[in-house]
Amino acid sequence: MKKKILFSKFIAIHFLLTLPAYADNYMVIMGAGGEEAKPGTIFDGGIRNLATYVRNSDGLKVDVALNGGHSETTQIIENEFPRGTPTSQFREVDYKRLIQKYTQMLKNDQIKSGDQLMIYIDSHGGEKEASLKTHRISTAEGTAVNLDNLDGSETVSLDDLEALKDLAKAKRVKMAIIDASCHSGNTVALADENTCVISSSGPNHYGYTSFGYAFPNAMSKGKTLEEVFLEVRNNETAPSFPMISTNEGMSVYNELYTKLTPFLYDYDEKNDKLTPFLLRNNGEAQMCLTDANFKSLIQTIDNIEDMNTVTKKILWWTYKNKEVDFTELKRLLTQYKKTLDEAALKMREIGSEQFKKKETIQGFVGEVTWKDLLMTDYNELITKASERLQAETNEKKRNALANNILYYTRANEKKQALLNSESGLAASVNQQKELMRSLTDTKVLSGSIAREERKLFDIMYKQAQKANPDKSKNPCHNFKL
Amino acid sequence: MRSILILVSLTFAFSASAADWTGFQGCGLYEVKGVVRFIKNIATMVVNEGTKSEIKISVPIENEPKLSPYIDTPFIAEVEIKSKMNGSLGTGTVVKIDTRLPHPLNPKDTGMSFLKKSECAK
Repeated sequence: MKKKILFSKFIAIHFLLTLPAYADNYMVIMGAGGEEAKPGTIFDGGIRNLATYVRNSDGLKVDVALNGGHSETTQIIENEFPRGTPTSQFREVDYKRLIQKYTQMLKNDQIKSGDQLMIYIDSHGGEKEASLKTHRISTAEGTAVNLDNLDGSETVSLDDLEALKDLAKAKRVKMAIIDASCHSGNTVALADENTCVISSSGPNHYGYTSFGYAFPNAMSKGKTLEEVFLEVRNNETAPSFPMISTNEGMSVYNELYTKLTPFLYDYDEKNDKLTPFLLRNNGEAQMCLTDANFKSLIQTIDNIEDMNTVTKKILWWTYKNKEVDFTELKRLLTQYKKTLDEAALKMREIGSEQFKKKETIQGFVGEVTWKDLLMTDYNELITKASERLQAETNEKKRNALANNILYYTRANEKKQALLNSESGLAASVNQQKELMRSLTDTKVLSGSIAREERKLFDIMYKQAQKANPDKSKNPCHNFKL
Repeated sequence: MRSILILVSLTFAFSASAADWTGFQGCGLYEVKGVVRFIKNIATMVVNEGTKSEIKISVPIENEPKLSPYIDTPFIAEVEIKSKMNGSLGTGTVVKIDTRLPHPLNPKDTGMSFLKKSECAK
């Protein structure tokens, strides 16, 4: 009898302890927007792998909002996701509908404490705008012709996920946001002790389809999101700086990202981040700071090597054995730095004296430099001032605006005359373009640096993990697939 | 232990901090570091953009051409403020302005500092 009671107690306790195993898993997959009109999209490989993960995950409850109008992609979604999966296009209305749906499910306790909710995004992503906490991604409407500001496509802001993740935290529902779009490092701003955020790139870098392909490919039952991330980060090597919101991930990011930023850029005629960086940083003071930055980066790498060097003494000989060797990374960085320095110096030489010359504008007091004349978009100023003039009723303000329009018009005429008469100016612009072409090799260099950077990140991440062995407050470790 | 100390010190040694804004200190001349943006078609100086301490300073229409070469460009300027600021909004006249090179380790090195006191406009 006693044995029977003991056995029943054991069964009851076992049942209680294994309850979390019955927690439900939810996943929302969104994106594949902003693509030009053609049968497929660049996201197709990633979508296939996501569908495979869903097929292999029994009990996973999924919503899919992807694509819009690309026949091959539509076919992949229809054929590869399990039959019955709710699917739709990815328009603003779909984005808002899904946020509303999951907000309601959390409020109603349909998604309950201990459950897991993953938002998976793979679309074109823009740079952070000043007014946003995160960034925008393209929806299915339109084509993103500019990969920095997503001009041409309709967009939605990932700031809209903030209330959802706050609600998930309040309801003790584990939350994860995977953002595989460009500039997705900005989404890490949504992370907290309950929400794990993983991005395919740093805040100021493009993401690549290789991450969007590799991440779902590495997702499998039983793994934590942290494990998947580290595995993918080590194997996928695009120059993008993928991020994870753990304390370890953020400490490595804080240490490396700013210093590594230019070395993960390359010159590209269409989507170029290197040229604007060089233009911003070719002043004398700026170059000094860039030098200090570079030295600091090399010092960090040296320190990591020192920390991983084992010294052995045999009789009177001392052997030093480097367990990690970043000689190649330092060589590549030094080579790239030299290329960037030469380019920055050339840029300073091109036209610098000419730009200091001054002009007067007929009928106006004071002088304006050639630099200011050439840098100003007077057409835009005239358009905006004219719109204001039309709406303005105050006579004094109308006169002031009309005067400004006259100034902009005459300055614009002066600018055009300069460009026509001073062949040197046009040549300066062409020389700059030539210089940029000479930087084409940077694609190979940034790619090689990215490969080595993955090893450096991994070592630094593991060291940070050793320093902080308590994983109980790590939402990326606690989110199990 | 040594490696932990080094890692911790490395993490904090390079952390960047935003420039401080200690609040409006009265009418006078200010050094302003920010970026010029079009806000409702009006060129406006924006300081500490995108932060909780964002400040917007507009200029009189007559003074707007001074801002025209700096649209969407980081600038450093001397600005005469002759009326009390309304929270984070103010109006001033640009005395001197030039392109600013953002600090590469801290691109948000924007802010306002008080240079010289002057009388407020009546």
